[in-house]
Amino acid sequence: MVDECLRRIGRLSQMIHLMAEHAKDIIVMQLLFKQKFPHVKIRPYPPPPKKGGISWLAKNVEKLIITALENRKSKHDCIVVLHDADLQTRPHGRNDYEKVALICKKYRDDVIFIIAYDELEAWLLADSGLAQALNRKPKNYDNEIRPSKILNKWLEDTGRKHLTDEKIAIIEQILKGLDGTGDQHSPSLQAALKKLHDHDCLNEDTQKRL
Amino acid sequence: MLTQLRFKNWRSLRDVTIENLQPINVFIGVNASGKTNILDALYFLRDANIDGSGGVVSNVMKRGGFSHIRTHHVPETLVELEFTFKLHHGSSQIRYCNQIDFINGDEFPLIFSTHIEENNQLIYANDAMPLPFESNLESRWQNATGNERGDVLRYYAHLYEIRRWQMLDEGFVPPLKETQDNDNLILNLISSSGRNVPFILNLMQQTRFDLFAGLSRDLQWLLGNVYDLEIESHFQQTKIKLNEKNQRIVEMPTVSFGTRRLLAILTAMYLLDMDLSPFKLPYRDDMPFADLSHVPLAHMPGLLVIEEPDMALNPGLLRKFVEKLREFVANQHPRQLILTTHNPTFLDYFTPEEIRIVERDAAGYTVVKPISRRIKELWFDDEETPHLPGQGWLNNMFGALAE
Repeated sequence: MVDECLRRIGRLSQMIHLMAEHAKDIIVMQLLFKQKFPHVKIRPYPPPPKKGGISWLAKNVEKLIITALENRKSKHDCIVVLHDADLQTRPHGRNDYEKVALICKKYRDDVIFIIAYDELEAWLLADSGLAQALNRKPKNYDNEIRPSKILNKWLEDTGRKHLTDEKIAIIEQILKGLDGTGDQHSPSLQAALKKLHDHDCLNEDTQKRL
Repeated sequence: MLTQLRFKNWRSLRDVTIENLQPINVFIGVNASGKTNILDALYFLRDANIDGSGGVVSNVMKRGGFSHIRTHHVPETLVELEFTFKLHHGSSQIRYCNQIDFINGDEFPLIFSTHIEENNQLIYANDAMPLPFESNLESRWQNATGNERGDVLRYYAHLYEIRRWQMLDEGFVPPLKETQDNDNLILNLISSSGRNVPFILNLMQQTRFDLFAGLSRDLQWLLGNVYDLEIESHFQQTKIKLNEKNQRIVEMPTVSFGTRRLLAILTAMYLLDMDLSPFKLPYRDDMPFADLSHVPLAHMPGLLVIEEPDMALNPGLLRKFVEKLREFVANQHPRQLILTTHNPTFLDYFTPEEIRIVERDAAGYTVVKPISRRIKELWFDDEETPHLPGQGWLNNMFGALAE
């Protein structure tokens, strides 16, 4: 009740505690949300510099979840774990992926588990604003092999740097034009946003109710 | 040594208790989280205590009146500032609570009351004491507790410690050279801006050359290129000179802010080791407990509060600088530090137990918390890949990071 009152007077923003396998994935999500859900705040839990990847996430995801639970200020805060499906590139040896899924399942009351098919870059290739800025047409790249390679080619062709840097200011420059419309073409982004909606993380329904 | 601070209805501090204070305490938080409000409450406690009779009123008014010090949007008007300290010759905990109340929304505080507890047992209480509050404190105490004068002095000696709290605010930079005037005559306390550093150093050079030489050595150890320090005083003007290793004498105008801030910090540290009793603390002679002038001040516990001590310091210098801070708290006499920082590289040199996180809660009030035991176990005690605190801060393990 108190939370709702505070939310009503705008003093309690929706907060998503986001953990992912790479710092750049978190930054991409922050940029996407800045465009699409500016009222939602993201509290990032990035890997330390020069660390990351699915093995790192599998090893640390439980610690990260417990940390986020400790840091959660309100029960409305969402805890989200995100990683690439990598089905096309790593069809075998999926122990780390399974481990992440199992841990998320263990904390299913508190944790929302989101997978980008086949890589997070597919969500960017589906973005109308970014595609237009890179002189391309957006479409569904969810089933492509290595959408990250396609994105880097697009970026290279327009004189932009590859999406590898972990600095937010640089990634913002690289992805200039991104308008958060990727869900119009990417079913996996659509599914991810629906999951967040269903868990009331995007807070739009709550705001409408209020 | 201070063990706990509690602030109620002081600006953004709706009801904040800071427990288990360590010899070194580093407060971190985003801008406008309330760190400065905590430090200002300490300034208030010290200055209201120093200014003696009327100190509470003048220090409330200095801050713009009641409406500028109270927490907004709360019905109560009572402001409480409380600190607990441990007697250094025993295990007794003394809790000293100041209450300031305002009647009918007046800007002037009208009531000041004091409660003192030893190990949770009330040993002195004076509710609704009309201001000025210090008059007759001695006899009031004796009436209330039946304590002998010696006991009263023992307790009051610790209140005396507050008057020695050395505090440097965020923008402190000692002046290049300074002319003495009425505003900087006090030499037992470093001014929050560092303005009186030249005079303190001059006094130290003249009366405690051993301390002055130690300070000079520390500066040389920290900076490498400094040969020694020299204070020159002509008439009322005092100048600080640094002699570099190439024998070139560099006057303060050409010395960087970072070096000058370092000098101010060292001055504040060494100042606590000076027994300035011949120079009398700013006390009226007719005040009770004037006997305390016989207490060897240098042996008393000393607190040093520095806002952003690392500002303008090279990152390569931080390790040695923190080593110096640790040496300071390991002094044979009890010494304690309260620091703030926005620098994760600096934070790396502290332990998780020394860190306090200052945040706003959902309602906008300040909360102060330690790094939780769980987070500490998860990230800092991890034998395989232990995190350093600064790295944990940047990776959002415990908050205090702007969104």
